[in-house]
Amino acid sequence: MLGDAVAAALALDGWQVDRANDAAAARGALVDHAYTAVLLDLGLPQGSGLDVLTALRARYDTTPVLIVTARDQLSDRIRGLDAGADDYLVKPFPFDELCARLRAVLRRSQGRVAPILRHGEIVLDPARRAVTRAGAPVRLSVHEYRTLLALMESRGRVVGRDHLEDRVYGGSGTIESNTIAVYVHQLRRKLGEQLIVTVHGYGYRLAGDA
Amino acid sequence: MHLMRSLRARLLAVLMATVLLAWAIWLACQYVQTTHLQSDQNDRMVRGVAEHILLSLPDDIDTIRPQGHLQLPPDATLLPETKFDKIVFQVWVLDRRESVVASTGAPATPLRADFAVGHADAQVDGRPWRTYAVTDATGQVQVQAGVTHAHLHAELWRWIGASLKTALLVLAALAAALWLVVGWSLRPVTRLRGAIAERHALDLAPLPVAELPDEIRPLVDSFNQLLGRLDKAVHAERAFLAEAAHELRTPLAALLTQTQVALHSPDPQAALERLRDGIERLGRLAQQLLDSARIDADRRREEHGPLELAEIVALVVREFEATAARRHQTIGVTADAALGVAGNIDDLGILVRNLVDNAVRYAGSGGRIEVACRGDSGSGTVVLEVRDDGPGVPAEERERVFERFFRGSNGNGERGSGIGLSLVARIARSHGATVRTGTGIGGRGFAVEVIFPGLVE
Repeated sequence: MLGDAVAAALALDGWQVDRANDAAAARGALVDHAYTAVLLDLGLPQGSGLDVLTALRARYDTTPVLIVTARDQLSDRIRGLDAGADDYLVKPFPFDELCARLRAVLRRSQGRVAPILRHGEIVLDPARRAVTRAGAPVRLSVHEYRTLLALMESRGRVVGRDHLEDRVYGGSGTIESNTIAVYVHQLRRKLGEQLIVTVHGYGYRLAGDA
Repeated sequence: MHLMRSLRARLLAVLMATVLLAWAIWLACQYVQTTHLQSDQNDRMVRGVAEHILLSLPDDIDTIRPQGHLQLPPDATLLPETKFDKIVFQVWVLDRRESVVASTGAPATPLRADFAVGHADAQVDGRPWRTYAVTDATGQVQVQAGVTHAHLHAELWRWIGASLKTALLVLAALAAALWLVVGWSLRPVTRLRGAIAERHALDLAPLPVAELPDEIRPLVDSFNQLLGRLDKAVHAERAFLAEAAHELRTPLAALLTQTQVALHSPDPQAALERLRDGIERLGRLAQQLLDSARIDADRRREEHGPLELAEIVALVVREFEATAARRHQTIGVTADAALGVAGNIDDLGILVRNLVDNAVRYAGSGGRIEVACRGDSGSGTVVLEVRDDGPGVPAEERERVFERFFRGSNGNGERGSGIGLSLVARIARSHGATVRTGTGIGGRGFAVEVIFPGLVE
């Protein structure tokens, strides 16, 4: 019922919508088509939505994925984002919010690259959302990972604080926060104090060419 | 059931082992003592027999040539053997090395082959003997008396056997008595078990404690206390369920009415918007009821892990982005780095969500909400603060906002469920945190501070 309503509303909004009714159909469709974005319910018949997402990312497919689910616990949300979802929306939600999130996810995903990124002894694999330092895996939270990804994709160029905010949260500007500084602090703690250079009054960049 | 888990079996096993051990030690002591005593007694007996026989012999015994023995009359019966019968003797004429008189059963060879006098252990006919030899004053005649070791041992074993029989009998009597006493003592427990088994699922009345042994009574007392707490909790839950169901009715009625208006109104826009708001409120109520059930269901302290508070706040606050944008509100988040708290991530998510939700709801259009996480290096605590610049809560109501279903008088056009802050209070309590209320931004509005104990590194 929700699927029908969402598909109808999206069509009204000008989107062309394909629906997959179970996990197997979703996997097949994701292999056959290059979609602009994916709305993924976690409670799919015959399989977990998370597995579909994991399989998608394992193919180095960077199609933006927005999880739409009734699982509202914070740990569910973190699991979804860790598995490579771009955003996570809990039912029930106003349709406006779905559209806004969808647009934000699309904006953020533009120009995204899938190949493995390297900076000195730090290696970031976007498909597996895995980060290693000198070969040893490093556990990063969702936001720490996104901050690092944005910095590594810019390859040493300065990334403005606003741009980082947008890459990490994809917000609409309603929320002002200094939490990027927290993630930078954590990244320095986990990956080395010298890794990220603060450009005062503007933003951050990765240190040197290393 | 494992045998050793039975109180009765354990008691029996320990008691039997103790009794058997004690008996074995006693027997060993007795054995050692008796062997000493007996050998002394036996020696004296053997010596007595030898000396008596020597003294009763005629003085011309050395001239006698043995030519046969006297016989009993044919109708006479022999006395059954006694322990004295086992002592045999021989009378030797020393210069001829000839036995002139000997008891029946005495060996043909001398008991003392060397004919020395006094006590000795000797080997005759392949059997060990205890012997005594005595020579008369003229040195002509020697009497040798002896008894076999086998005979002495048989005596000892007969005595041990009798003692063992007695001990086993006592042991059996003890076991039976113990079995009965334990069974009798445990009868109240069996009755208790029966009483529990017959109960209805939610019968939480205390169990009877009369007649219970003193050792078991504290257990049942504690259990009764638990039942009491459970009973209170079940009652509270029932009351909550009833109230919650009641709470659901009002918005449902409002929704029905708005639907009716929308169907019949020439311009349904306004009614449809109110319908949407009503549904959102209902969704929020459902969420809070679900959260309430959850934090009751898994309140396990040991699962608390170290969590980064700023990360939780960032994740939760983002959920309010669209709502805040619709209300032209801004949310400010300031966080210190590395603020670890010990907690359950889902519970803390619920706590932050309800605080921010309240602030967003009551701040009003164009309002401002500030969420701050900071560490207090002095006390080592971690403080989460959520403030708004709405109408606030009158000081006299501030402590009551954490009660279930309490609604403040200053609703700013919003009608809350009265659940959100009660969830906050419960989660704070289960995390060892304290909650403080105050005035919000710029001398107005409402502020809630949750003070977590810092992580012990």
